[in-house]
Amino acid sequence: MAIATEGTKPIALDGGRKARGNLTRARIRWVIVAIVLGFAVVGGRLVQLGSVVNDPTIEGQTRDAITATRPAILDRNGLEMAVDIRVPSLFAEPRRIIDVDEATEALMTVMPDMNREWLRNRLTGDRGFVWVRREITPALKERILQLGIPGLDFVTESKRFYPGGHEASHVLGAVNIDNQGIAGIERHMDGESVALLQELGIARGRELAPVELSIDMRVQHVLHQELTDALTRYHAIAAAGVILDVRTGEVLALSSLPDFDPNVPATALEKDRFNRITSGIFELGSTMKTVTFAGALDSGRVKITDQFDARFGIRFGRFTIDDFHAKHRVLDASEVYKYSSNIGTIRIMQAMGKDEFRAFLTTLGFDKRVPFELPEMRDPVVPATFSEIVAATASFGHGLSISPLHMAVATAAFVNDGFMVNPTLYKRDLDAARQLYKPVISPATSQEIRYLMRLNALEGSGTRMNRLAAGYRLGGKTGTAEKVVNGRYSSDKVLNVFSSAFPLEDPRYAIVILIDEPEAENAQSGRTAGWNAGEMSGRIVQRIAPMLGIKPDFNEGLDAAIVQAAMR
Amino acid sequence: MFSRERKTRLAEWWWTVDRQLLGALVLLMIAGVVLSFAASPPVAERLGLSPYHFIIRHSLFVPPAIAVMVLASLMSQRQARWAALVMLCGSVVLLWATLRFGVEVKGARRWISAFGQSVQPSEFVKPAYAIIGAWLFSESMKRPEMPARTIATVLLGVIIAALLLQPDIGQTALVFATWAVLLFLSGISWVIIFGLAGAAVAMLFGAYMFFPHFARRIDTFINPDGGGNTYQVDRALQSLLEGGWFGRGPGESIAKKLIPDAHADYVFSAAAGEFGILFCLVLVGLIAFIVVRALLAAQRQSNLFARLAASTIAIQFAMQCGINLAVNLNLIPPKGMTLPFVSYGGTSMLAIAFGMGLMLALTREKPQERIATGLPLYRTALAPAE
Repeated sequence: MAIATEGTKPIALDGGRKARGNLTRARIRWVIVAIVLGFAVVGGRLVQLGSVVNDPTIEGQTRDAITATRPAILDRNGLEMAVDIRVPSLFAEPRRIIDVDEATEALMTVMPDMNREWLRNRLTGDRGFVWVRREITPALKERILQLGIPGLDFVTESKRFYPGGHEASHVLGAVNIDNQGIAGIERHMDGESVALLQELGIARGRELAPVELSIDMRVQHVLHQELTDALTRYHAIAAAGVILDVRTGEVLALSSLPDFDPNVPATALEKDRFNRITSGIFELGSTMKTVTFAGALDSGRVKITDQFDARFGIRFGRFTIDDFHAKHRVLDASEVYKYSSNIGTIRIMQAMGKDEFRAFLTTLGFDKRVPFELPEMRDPVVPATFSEIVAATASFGHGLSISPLHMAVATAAFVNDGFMVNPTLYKRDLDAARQLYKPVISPATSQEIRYLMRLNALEGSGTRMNRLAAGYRLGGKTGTAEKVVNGRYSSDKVLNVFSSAFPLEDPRYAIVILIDEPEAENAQSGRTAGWNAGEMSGRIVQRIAPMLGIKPDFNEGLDAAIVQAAMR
Repeated sequence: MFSRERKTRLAEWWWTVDRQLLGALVLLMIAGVVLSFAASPPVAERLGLSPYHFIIRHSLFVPPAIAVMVLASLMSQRQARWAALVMLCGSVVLLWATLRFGVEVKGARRWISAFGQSVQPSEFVKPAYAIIGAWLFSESMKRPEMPARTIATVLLGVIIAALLLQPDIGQTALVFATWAVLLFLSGISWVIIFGLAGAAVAMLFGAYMFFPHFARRIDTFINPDGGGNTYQVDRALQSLLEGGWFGRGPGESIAKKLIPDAHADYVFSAAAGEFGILFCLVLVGLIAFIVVRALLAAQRQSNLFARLAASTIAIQFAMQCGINLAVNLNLIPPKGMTLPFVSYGGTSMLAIAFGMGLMLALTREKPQERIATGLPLYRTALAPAE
């Protein structure tokens, strides 16, 4: 037993030197293991740091929006109305800027218009991305590069460019700095599909199919130019116009002055730059008589040959309504229209019945906004039920406010054999439009309205216009509405409207022209719509009709045919 | 010159020294010069000096450092001991003199002006103490009746006291760790090792309690958003991230310009931006190669003193590198520790070169076991003299 227990101890002791050697060698081995582990940790940390993927230039989500492209917008003939161009945008990485003061001073030398304090605050801090200035010129980019400031860099962005400048501003609208539509058709497009495409990332750096509008830039140019001319000629505060293809509802031109430059969207925010055609609602005055006539003639209770007593004003309680161009005699229906007799119109409306008249306005869509692409819209103000006096004033265009676009669409329907079609800014062919036709009056009534409109051009308030647009068979109704100033109708401030169509033997285009607070052109001229809105329409048609393929024709027989068709 | 035909001292050195280790050390010095091109110009500019100020001074110290290293590696064990002893005495005296005559920089007296050159004596203490400590421990292992171990511990106390008074926590820790490594290598029992590890933790805690600047660094590391100053570390990490795997190329890095100590403690991260993570991995690999190869060579030594001394110096080198790299990579709280041969610092480079030279000397292939005939010992019947 004793031997066995001793056997557990080493019998032969190693030499001290060997034992020490083994011991220290083992300990060194431990140290080697520890050191290798330590360096492995360091190496692992390096690999981890190397694997950190940091976006080399840009942080955050900004990237998605900025490189997003938008489809080009073309007019109906393929002319470019809006295109994307590639421009540099300057951004900074404040955490990499070494000397903020130096960088600020250097930038101020090339961009002296910047605010020094703002810039310094912008460049200070530990952020990885701030915009300094978006959408700069390549020349400016070159100069900034020459400065050699670390921490500044550029990204190429898509910038919306409108070659026409002001010309179609209210149609096109504008986009914000992130290329999202904020107004006009640009905004509408976003609502439709572009926003979705951008969200999905499809619209990035890729060409999108261009969007074709119904606008004809040549016609748009004429309209815009004539409206600009009118502002100075009549010292008006505003002028607006819209030209519709009556068959398809396509908007050929739409302009409202004062307007803005879509390339500088901030200008749209200035006062009174709104789109008067769609988002302005007005008492459109005597142009409403066309509507009253259409409704009354179509009801069958009034014939175009009927006589109406316009000798005395009509009393409603305390009020008496009289005529502006008072004849004070018995007038037949066409004379009522020609002389724009308020009394006669009220009698015609009363013959039709005020509730029927109100129902007809609903048929025409005057109760709600015109279904249209532009987002800038305002609800019309039309009383839900008509009392006697409200119906009476409404029949000649007071006491209810609608947009000029309402009037244009109604006028188009009246001359288009009574078929109403919603207006559109996109191209639409005749077959597609026919699917949308909604009859509002009979074709026979349409013939009568065309006759009345042409008659007014030949013998009524439209004669000045007719001389300017001779041969284009243009006809329409004037409207001179007194504006409400401080709760009272003012005779000084008027809103003049001319709603017309041409060529009336086979109507193709409807025009509504509006001019706000015009003054007489000179001492010899008047201030009513025939003098300004009418003449403007004449000048416009004189220029656009040849473009639209309408030849001037001075054959008297054409007018006779219009009369015959109406009197049949 | 290195011909084997005649047994010159140089030829013998050449054929017995670890040439791969020597090559790796020279390579590390060259890397240091290259990295100073990347890291130091912004610092020099910030100090209002010529952009090449630190590069030139760094480069000027490389040839003397190589000379010191080679000369030291020529020594025999006996010469090495004597050289280390002289250096230890001189540097300990200087260390204490620093407390009285030193220049105060950033609240610490670590530098002393000698011979028109500011010297950090603690740099010279480290390798000298490693050699002398190894000798004392090996003696105590061979002759436990001698109070060699106690002498080593007293010596440690003298050095540490001076270092703590400067104060220089980093060097204190390094010298203390050197002593601990010697204890470990000399075969202290594991029980005591864990006991001492506990003591080390307690000492760190004590440092945390009594040295406010140390405590602040720890706090800031644990809670970087706590308002502490993490500027330097943040910039270092940014520089590391900036370069990615392959770096931005010489002169292209921007983040490094923001690192205050880019030429010294943070040269590694400053260079990372320009040369990339892969280069950093190679550099770490080179350092690891030096350490592991030196340790393996030390393991082969039959002489106890040589084994202990060489491995202690190698471990000291590894600890210094490891702490510096870990700080650069934000793995541990910031600690003023230079990267040997790579960070700027003239006299410290000479001190490290001296230590590495002794390490090379002690890992030579048994020069001491040759007899005058030039024949290796195993060819003779004589017993080695330990």
